Amino acid sequence: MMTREDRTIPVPRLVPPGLADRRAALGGTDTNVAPIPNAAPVAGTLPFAPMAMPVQVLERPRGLLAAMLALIPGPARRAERGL
Amino acid sequence: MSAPASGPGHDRNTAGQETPDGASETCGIPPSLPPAGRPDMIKGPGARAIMLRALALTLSLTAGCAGFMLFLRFGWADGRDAMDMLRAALIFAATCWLAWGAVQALAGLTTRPPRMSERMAQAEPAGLGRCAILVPVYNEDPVTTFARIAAMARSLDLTGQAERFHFAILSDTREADISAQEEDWFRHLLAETGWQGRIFYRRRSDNRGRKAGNIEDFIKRSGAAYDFAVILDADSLMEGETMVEMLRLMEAQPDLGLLQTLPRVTRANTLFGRVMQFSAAFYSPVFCRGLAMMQGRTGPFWGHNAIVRMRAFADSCGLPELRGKPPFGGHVMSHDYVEAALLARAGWTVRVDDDLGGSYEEGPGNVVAHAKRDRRWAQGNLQHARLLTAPGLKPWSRFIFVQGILAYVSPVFWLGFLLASIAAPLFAPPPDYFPVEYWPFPVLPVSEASMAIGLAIGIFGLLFLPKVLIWLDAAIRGRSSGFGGRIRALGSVLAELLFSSLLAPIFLMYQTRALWQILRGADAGWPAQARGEGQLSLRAAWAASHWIVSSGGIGLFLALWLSPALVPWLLPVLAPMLIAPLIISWSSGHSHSGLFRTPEEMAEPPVLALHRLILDRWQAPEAKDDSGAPVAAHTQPGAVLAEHA
Repeated sequence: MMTREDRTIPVPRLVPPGLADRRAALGGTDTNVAPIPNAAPVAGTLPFAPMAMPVQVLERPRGLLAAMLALIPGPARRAERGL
Repeated sequence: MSAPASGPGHDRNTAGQETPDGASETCGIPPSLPPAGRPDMIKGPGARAIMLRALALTLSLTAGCAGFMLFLRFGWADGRDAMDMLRAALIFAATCWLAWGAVQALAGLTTRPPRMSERMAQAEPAGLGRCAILVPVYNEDPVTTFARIAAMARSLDLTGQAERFHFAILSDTREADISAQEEDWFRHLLAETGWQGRIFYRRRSDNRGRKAGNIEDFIKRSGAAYDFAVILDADSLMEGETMVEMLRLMEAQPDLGLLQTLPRVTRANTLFGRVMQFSAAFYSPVFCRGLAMMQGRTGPFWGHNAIVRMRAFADSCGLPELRGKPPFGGHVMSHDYVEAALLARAGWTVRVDDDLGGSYEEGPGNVVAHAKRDRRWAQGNLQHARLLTAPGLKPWSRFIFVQGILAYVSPVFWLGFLLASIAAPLFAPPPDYFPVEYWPFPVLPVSEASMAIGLAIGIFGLLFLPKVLIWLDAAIRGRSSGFGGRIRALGSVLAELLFSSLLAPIFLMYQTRALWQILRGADAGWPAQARGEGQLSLRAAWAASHWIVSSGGIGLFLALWLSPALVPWLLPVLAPMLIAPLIISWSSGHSHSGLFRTPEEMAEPPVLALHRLILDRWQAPEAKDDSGAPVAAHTQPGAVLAEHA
């Protein structure tokens, strides 16, 4: 026999799998982070929609050997792309 | 040509939208654009830009060489010595720098921006992109700042495109009482604008990375919810139509990573502030046009009043901490130049559109506030010396770094030249009236004073001619009507020339001190911006400039002792130094002069008028309680602002 709870229409899953963990890793206890990512923005809470921002390479490596390695196309191109 | 990079941990979802670690479509928000523009079509800066750059550099170097030769002929008339060579080299560097500015103005005067109708035709709006308007604040007055946001929100409402925009107030405020006020006024802002759910406020507990870190923090948390971000300063104001236009332009050109506007300085009420405001309104568009002609696809970013493509910015502009301690290590201070260079490195176009109106900011009200800001900018620009060899940068980006460094090093050329000229008699060879052996009659040295006079005329020409030509252009094309008409504009130009001549030696000293402090390793820190600072008492001006008076006195004494003939030539430099406190205090007073009128003074732009009306109401005594918090917010969201439609 079905219980009342069983008949409840399932709520669509708004939080993608794994997102809760990432939110926790980013400081999910911050009250400024919306509990449901951007589904219905609450006044004053930023939408939670993370985007990666890789750190770029700006300085050439120190030392003669490292500087020469940086001139080789492969590593240099990776360095250009911030990897 | 490298395409924008995908950072580690990225992959693509079915819609082609990159997401970090496979996170879903921007957390509920469907991707509104095709995959971020891949600038595969970019080939280079364009032949026209390369030609202009080459021409400008050639002309600047030619002017520098001419100065060098003229000075050598003058200096060697009484015998050759090392001091003459040093002075000629300094004249070469200083003249090159002056000529570079003049050539930029000439380039701006001889070219026109594309007509608005052409640009609008290019910009077919997709109408899907979402844009975050980022307002970083740091110990600012919340009432003034949030009133600006209310004015911009209202201005956006009037465009009919407001639903595409969100505001994010990104607070780095450290002062507890100011942060409490920010929260109070934020609630008031929401209640008045009716923008609940579209204006956000958050305060960082950790100010890592300062302003650049503040924006990075936003992108890492919320960037995927938006396609574009308009980056503002706390004192920025932009018309809603301008922001919509910028959005259209970004959507129309998928390889455009950043679009910069030329903000007009407004709301100045001191003499110093109004002169700067006039300069920014009258001269800057022409200089900026010249820069725009040379930028190619490697234009500038000035840190605010610009729009960026979110994914391009996120992929390309994560800034590292530089090795070592400040001032040359640590956080990148002038991050905007670096971000522009990084976007260009990744293949995105960075562009300044000098004819995009409706973009405003405020400036310092007196010399001391200006010098404080300059101190930070100097440190930021000199720090770029570390990045000149950064891998993969476009040559023009490296040149822009050099240009920024020279802006703060060039005063040293002039100071070095003046000091070397005072000291020159100590190094001069004794006069030789009998240079030819066995010749019984003395040979008197030929005066080459005409060379020195020619050089002086040339240098003053490089300084003044561009400004006079800009007036002539404005008078012919009718632009002067916005500045009170031809005659009043001419009066303003002449008065500005006089005023800037008075201030130049004072700034020379401030910039030289800043350079000295930075080279000694002193860090400028991160002081809150001094906005709206005005009147300075004579005592305060003396406290800030007594060392300039002392330096001027020592310079005059040395000149009288070592080179009395040089004193009349040095007086235009030494006299303003000797009366620096008077000039600083006088120029900080309120100005009601009919000169220095600007179009914004003569006809207040809509968003400025909105801001003034809102601010007047918010600052009224009955609008705040004893603690400075707003009294009960209005019950009809947006109703009050609707009155200002």
